[in-house]
Amino acid sequence: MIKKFTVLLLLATQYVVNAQDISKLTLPSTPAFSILGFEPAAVMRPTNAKSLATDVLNSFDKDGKLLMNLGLEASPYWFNSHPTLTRDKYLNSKNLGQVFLQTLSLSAATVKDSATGNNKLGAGFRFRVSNGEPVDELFIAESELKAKLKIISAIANVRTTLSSADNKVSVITAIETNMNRANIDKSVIASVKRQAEKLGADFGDTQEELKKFIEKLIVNRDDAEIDLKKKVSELTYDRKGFILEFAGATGYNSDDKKFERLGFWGNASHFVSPDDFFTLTARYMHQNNDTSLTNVDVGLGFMKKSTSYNISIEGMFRWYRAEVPDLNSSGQPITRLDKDFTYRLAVQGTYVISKDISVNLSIGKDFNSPFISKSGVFSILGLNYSLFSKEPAHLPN
Amino acid sequence: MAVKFVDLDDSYKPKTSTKDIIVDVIIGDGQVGSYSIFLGRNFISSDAPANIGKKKNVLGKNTIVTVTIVDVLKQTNWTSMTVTVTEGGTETVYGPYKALAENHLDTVIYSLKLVNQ
Repeated sequence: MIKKFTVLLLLATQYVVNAQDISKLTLPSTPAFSILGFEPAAVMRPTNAKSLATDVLNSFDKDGKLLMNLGLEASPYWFNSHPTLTRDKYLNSKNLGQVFLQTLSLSAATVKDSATGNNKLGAGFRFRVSNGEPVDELFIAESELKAKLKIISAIANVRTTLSSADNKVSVITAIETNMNRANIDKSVIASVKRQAEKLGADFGDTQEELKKFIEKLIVNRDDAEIDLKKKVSELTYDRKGFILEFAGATGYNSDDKKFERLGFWGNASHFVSPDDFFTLTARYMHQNNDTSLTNVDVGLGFMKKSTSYNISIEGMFRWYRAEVPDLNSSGQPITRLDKDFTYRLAVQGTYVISKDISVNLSIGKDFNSPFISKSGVFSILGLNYSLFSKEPAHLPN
Repeated sequence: MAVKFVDLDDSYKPKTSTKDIIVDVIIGDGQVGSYSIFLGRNFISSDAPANIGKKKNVLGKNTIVTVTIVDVLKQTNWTSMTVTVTEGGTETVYGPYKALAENHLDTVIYSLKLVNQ
């Protein structure tokens, strides 16, 4: 059944077989870029109305023409402040409307086609209606961060209550007292005190100097937590449980003045963890160039990743219809219609043998194409050996 | 990473002599934060409503609310906080106070000084 069998043994080079093709079963992160098939050189991601206005203005040249090779991604709900949206509501909302608003992102892109020279525009959207739930690691990291912020709040109180009677000693004592009353760990209090005493040498005893001293102490404490902040931010977007999301995009050729591409995606996934999930995807893609191609895909996938191995299984069914300009036997132009069903099946895995060596295997059958005749069966066995890398062999994403 | 300080002043007039005065904070915009409530420099409570006492305990003193918020959301730089003072059945709301963090992962520290008069 498997017609080709290839063994790749690559020594002294970094070679990673793209074993995890499960991305075919997920939604494009920025549909407007995906529909045009390119990643813009510059992507603007405004986070409020003012920066959106600035970004839009910057998208035009001095003659008022839209610049090419630009991308824009924005989440309209987040342009304004939402003072009643607590962390708990943000993370755990089951309200369909709220989840939709929180997750809705719009994207746009411009590109100059290098082959035809035509200007193309893309626009897309993406949203969720079910957003799963936060991972347990987030609560651990968040609790750790809040403990650090509590220390900063204790120091900030002294900044607000500074009086003309204060000096460095009274300030440090007040910070220490606040932290003791806030039940902060004794070793942490001692560490903050040492840090404050050392830093205090650079500042005088005037109220202005004392304020600067406290602010510097806060900034130093804050800077020390950058990794923890990053971790909390990243974990915020790791979700488990049931996620249902949709996306759509269209591509417009502004020179030929026609819509060339249209795509809709729907995806339902169940995440046991961010590295262990089942996913069901449906998508509709229409392409209208010289050749018109429409396909509907429905696919199922499973992926599991651990420190020593990962595996993904994917099956996707495709119904397609292609209208191809052709000539009949008399040499007259006709439109040839191809309608068919095809499928893709793939099993892919990676096993880490040691720190520097991993084995990758991909076997399966790819889609048949109305334009290319091929068996579609593929099998790739790869050995990944990192001769000079001090880093352990990583599993491909 | 930067820290932004937002200093706020307001006043509170106790409504009764017999009811406890409870101060609470809501941190908005889905951000992570921690708050502490003080009467002057006396720590009362952290990340939980604070009972700062009755009128006779607070008169002439300042209630200080310090709220430290980190912008952990990639899709926005907004941070916000609202303080509520409840006495009996009466609620007084301060805010919402809003501030944009300059950059993702920046910290915004709000300090609200409420003069109890």
